[in-house]
Amino acid sequence: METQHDILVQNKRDIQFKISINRKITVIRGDSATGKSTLFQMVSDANTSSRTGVNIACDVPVVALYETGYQYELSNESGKIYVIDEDFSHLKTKEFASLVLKSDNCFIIITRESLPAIPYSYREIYKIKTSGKYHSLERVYPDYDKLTEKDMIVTEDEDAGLEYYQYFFGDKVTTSHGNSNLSKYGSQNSLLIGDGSAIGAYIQDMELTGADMYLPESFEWKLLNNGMFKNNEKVQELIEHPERVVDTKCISMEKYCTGLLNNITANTPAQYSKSKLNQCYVRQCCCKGTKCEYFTRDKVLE
Amino acid sequence: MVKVYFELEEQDIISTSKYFNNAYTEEWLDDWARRVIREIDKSELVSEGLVQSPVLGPITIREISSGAKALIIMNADDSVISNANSCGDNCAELLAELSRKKDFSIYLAYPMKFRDLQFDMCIARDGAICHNAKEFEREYLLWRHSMTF
Repeated sequence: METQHDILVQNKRDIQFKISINRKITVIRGDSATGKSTLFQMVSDANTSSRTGVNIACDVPVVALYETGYQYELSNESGKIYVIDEDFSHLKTKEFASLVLKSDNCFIIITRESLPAIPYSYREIYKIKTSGKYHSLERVYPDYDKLTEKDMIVTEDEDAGLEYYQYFFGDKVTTSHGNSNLSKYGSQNSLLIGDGSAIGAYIQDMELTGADMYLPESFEWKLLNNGMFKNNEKVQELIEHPERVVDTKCISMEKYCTGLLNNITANTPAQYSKSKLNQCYVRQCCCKGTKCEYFTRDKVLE
Repeated sequence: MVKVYFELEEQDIISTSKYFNNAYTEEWLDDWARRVIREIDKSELVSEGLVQSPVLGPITIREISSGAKALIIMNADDSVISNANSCGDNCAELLAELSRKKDFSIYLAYPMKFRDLQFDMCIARDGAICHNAKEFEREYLLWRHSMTF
């Protein structure tokens, strides 16, 4: 199922919600009394019978998910957008997370709590912006896309990812051994580097530390941004519009980018390995004496 | 003083909206409730069970926001641990004020932004006392860092 959809929910009293989703998981939080429960209630009402005074316009069905029978629903249905209210008591369970990850559906989850078992992007965390009866979504967090040098730099990645940042910033770069540990290293003097596409559950913690953040979609996504792939249409489409490329069957952006990087560099000098950084990704030229077909810059031998 | 639980057993977590709708009494809808509905929902409690909302028009008390319901439960019902995850950051001021007036308990598993508010808070997991956002956020991070995800 594609993950990009525009949704219009409105009732006969002109209460209106205009929502655009981009990924499999969208989280809505924010102030009280902005309309979150009203949105869920309207979607819920619309599902109960054919004439409810609520109209939902979307290219796929938008439905409320209830606690009763949700396991069957998520295991057997596909191609839907489920709206889940904060009262849904299974939100933080492993069973729910497992069903969501396997599911071929999209999810709009209303919750202020973090959901560590579900990878979701910090870019897809929203609050509701209200103007009278009209409601739309507004991102909670800005883009953290500037790589700035700080006294301490900590990346969630090990091996190739760690080596990559150490190449540029030296020994001040260490690893947190995973995204859940990143905030432990946060301070005014540190830069935290994580996979933006899966950091949603930890972004509140990281923000509290006052640290700077650099959150590309994933480390492999950052490598795909390398100039050597600028002639690869699939890569460029991914970089420009990740939501158009990654569907609900893909467990995470990191896995998608890793698979893509592995495929397009297999049996080339730029062959990607997660365990060891290929120097092609950091050096200004290919020094292996072999012409790299992806390399767009002039080849300069050392 | 408000006692804050970062974690609770599932059976102790109340569903704010459902609990309120099935438990509220006339006594709950006092001056505090009137103020909560005015300040959080920007609406007026007209009579028992009837609220005038500028956006939704006349609505029942069951349709006020979950944040407002949670704040009313905190003041009116000491038999449960109120679920403050239903409260957005715009509920912090009233929550802080209530903490200086009475003892109650809340479940709060997200870092509510208290900004420069002063409050009386006890963290259930370690007994720490917090009076400002910095102290609360430190306790919140200590709890988060103690977790295994």
